[in-house]
Amino acid sequence: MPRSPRIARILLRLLLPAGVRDGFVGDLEERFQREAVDDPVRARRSYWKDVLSPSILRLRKEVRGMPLPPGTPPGSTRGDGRMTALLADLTFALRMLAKAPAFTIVAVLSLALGIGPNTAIFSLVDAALLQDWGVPEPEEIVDVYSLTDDGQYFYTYYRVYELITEGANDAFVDVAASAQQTGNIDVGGEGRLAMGELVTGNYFDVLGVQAAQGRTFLPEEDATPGTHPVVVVSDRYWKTRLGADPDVVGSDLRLNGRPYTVIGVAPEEFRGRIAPGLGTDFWAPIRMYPHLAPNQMTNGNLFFMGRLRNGVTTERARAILDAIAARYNEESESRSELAIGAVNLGEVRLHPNFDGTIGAMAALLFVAVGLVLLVACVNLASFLLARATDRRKEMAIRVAMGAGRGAILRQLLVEALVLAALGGLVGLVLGMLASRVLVGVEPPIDLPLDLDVGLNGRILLFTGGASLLAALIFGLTPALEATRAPVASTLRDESGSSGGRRKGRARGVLVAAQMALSTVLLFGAALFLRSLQAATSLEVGFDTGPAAVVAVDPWASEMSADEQEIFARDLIRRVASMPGVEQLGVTSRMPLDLGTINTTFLIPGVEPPPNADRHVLEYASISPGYLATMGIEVVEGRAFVDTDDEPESAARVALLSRAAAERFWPGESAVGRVMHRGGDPERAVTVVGVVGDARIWSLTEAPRPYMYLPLSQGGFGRYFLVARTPMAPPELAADIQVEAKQLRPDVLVSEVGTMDDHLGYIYFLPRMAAAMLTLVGILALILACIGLYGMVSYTVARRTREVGIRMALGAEGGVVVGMVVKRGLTVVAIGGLLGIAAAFVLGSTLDRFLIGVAGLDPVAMLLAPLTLFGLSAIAAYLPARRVSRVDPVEALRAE
Amino acid sequence: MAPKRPSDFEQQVLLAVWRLEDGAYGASVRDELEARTGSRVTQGAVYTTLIRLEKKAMLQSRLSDPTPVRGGRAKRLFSITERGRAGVLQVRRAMNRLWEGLPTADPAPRESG
Repeated sequence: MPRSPRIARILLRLLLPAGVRDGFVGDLEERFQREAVDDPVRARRSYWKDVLSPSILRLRKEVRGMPLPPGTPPGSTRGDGRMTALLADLTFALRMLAKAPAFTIVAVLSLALGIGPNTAIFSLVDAALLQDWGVPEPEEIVDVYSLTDDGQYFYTYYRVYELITEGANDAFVDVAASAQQTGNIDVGGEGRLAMGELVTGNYFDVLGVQAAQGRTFLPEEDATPGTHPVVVVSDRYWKTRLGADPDVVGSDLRLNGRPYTVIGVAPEEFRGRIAPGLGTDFWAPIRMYPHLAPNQMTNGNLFFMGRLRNGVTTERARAILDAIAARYNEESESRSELAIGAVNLGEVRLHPNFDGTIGAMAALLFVAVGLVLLVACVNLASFLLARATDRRKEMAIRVAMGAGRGAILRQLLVEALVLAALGGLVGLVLGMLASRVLVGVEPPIDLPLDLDVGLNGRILLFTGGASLLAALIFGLTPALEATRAPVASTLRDESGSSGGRRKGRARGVLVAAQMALSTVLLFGAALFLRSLQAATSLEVGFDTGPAAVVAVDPWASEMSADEQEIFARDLIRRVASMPGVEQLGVTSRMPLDLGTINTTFLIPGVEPPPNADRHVLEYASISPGYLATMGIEVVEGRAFVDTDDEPESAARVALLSRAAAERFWPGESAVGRVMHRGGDPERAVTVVGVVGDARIWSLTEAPRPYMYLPLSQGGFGRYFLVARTPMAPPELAADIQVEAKQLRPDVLVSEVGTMDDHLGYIYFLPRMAAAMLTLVGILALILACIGLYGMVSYTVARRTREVGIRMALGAEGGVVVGMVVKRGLTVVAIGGLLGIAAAFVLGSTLDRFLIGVAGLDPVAMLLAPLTLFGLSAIAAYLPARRVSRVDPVEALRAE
Repeated sequence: MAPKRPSDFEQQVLLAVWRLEDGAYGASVRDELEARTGSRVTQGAVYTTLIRLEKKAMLQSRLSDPTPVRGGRAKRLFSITERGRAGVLQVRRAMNRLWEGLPTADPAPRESG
């Protein structure tokens, strides 16, 4: 026998009262069985049509209060009670809300503005921190780094890998190594930088990741240097750059100018081991390093991941690794000691170095948006409190008719829940839109950001939870308050004064709380705006004015060292004579950029630091025109001249930053001193000048010892052209790219931009933080002002009679308005003061996020309450104005 | 007090119940209506009207024994009361008077039986 649709039957059971349920359902069933003989699908459809027809609701109404027909078996009302009552509460709540559309819209929007930011931030955090690595049993994987003195996790050496594979068999089933390496992949004649990992042949096996198409690496593909040009590409790269070509496996792509065969595509959920939000584009065998990483020390660029043996803990593995570090230090002749840092992958979100900071930032944002939600909740609590006062008579009648306290509480909570659900729904939409926008603001660095902010179960759960919590916060107090109404007196005298005053005070407290929360958030916003302002006006030691900045990467094409040099000199000469180029500087490394290049020295007469064999200095190779172009001043001696860059005089001269000169020869002149590069007296360089300090890594660093060498010292593999111009810098940058491509079509030009673009990355975080907190602060302020506006309007409405008497006795309209505004602003002042007090406590914890201002910045402390006070005065004045229009006669007659 | 005159659909339902004599319940009334008038009606509309007419005492109902084709559920059987018969007859008389002397281009469906 065919079955009628189950869900439809359940729906009917919920909708229909016991009196007609059996007869009705039976009738439908009978018809269904008859129709199903011919066409079951049509029968189901017509069954559903009958169940969803509005006539069911009319039937429900018709039946209410009807006696049961004779012959109804006892107990057939089972299941009626609670469910039906809840359903009744729900319909009633919806009807109440529909009856007061203005209230409903304001309430739902307030809530949505509170919940939306929470959803947005959560979906970002979810995308960046809560996605997993796509690795089965991540808690069995241990990542191995070297640990610096200040507790940072860093890459380590190939020799350590050898020692681990020999000596850590007790701890690991197998250990794989990976080195991060960008490469130039040419698709359709256009080269572009791609993020890659050079990996050992067992990498995918150790991680337990299988190719979605094709295969992963074979052991022999990683056995001999430079012999197996094969790659595995990521799912995302395959879809976005390779057009999801179904025949991709077995095809060739040009990587750094040479054909590599694609042997597989990684599964969608595995995005490599760089970071979950920073996808790897391709994987290549590590033994291809002679081609893929010729200038890099792949030896010291590795990190390892091992899969633990059954029953081995991370602690145990750590002990074994420490023993290996000891063996390494024993055989090494260096004075510097290696320490190994091992982290369980199950505990890594992004990277052990950043998880703490990023977690703290996420927490800060959550606190901020959580406060906004709280302000929104308080708003609603205050609205509902006012409504409760208006509905006192309704409640009193219900109680008089025999409704229990529980029933009334339930009714009010259901109303709150309906509001919360509506607010949550609108908030979810707002939040998802906002997070799309936020992710669209890509950081201005060329990284394959891979954040998936699509809707998922976690986000739904979070938003649902936030809405539920909100409903409880804003619904409970007014609901409890409402059930306390004394029945008799309420029914006798509608304008009962004592309860009204108590509620008035409760609203005052709520509005003050909102004001306090808003002050805290405005203070936060002011702080981060000040921080941004400080960051952008900070002296960085070079001219940040308009310029074109173009990065050229000959290393990523098939070019010999000689070809690279010829190409570079050709290009520089041509660009220098391009129309619109006033000044041209070339450098192997821009200040305030990611990455680092350093070299080691022995300096006659100056001891290396303890625990080190040599001095280490970061450096940039620069053209003679670079310092002038960048506005870096020469403090002593001279800058480079053209002859310094000629091959026969190369490596003879160097410039030091003031901090470097100060470190090696404090109080003395550095000019004329000699340093031995790599400790080799044959490679001696003479310091010919001392130049000003430029910020190298970050805006806030102390002046960093730095060195400049002539461009011929390793500057031809990757360099930046910086050109000052009266033209628009982006146009000039594009022209330079064209010039480079004309000279050599296969050269990779990886960045075509401006000085502003280049600095964008360093200002990205301060800008984002300031923008987000300002937005959050403004939201809170708007919500709080809505709350204040509501409170004052309500006071005005309740005090019409009092105002009427005052006016009848001769009070001026202005005086009465002032009286009402004053009361409102008193509440604001109390809230503001509390907020400042809280800001004092919180401010100092924000220091770590700020640049150039202290957490207890007095300007921010002043700005926040002033903004609050200014806007609240308007929010209080607008409704208060109405008081002066009260007609005394009308007001008194109304009673 | 004379009963309030039944509406059009109420008349249809009353007549269907009358015609079905002892076998009138939701499903059969619906079938009868659809067969005789040629237009579809929903179960909810039929049932609502049945209940309303019962409240107006034009119909009365009782529960039958459960039957297997209905998933073991009882039928609610309806029958027309004196008041119900009087109601439809009164309407018919009024209509007949109004039709007197007018051409019957579209004759009413023939009653059988």
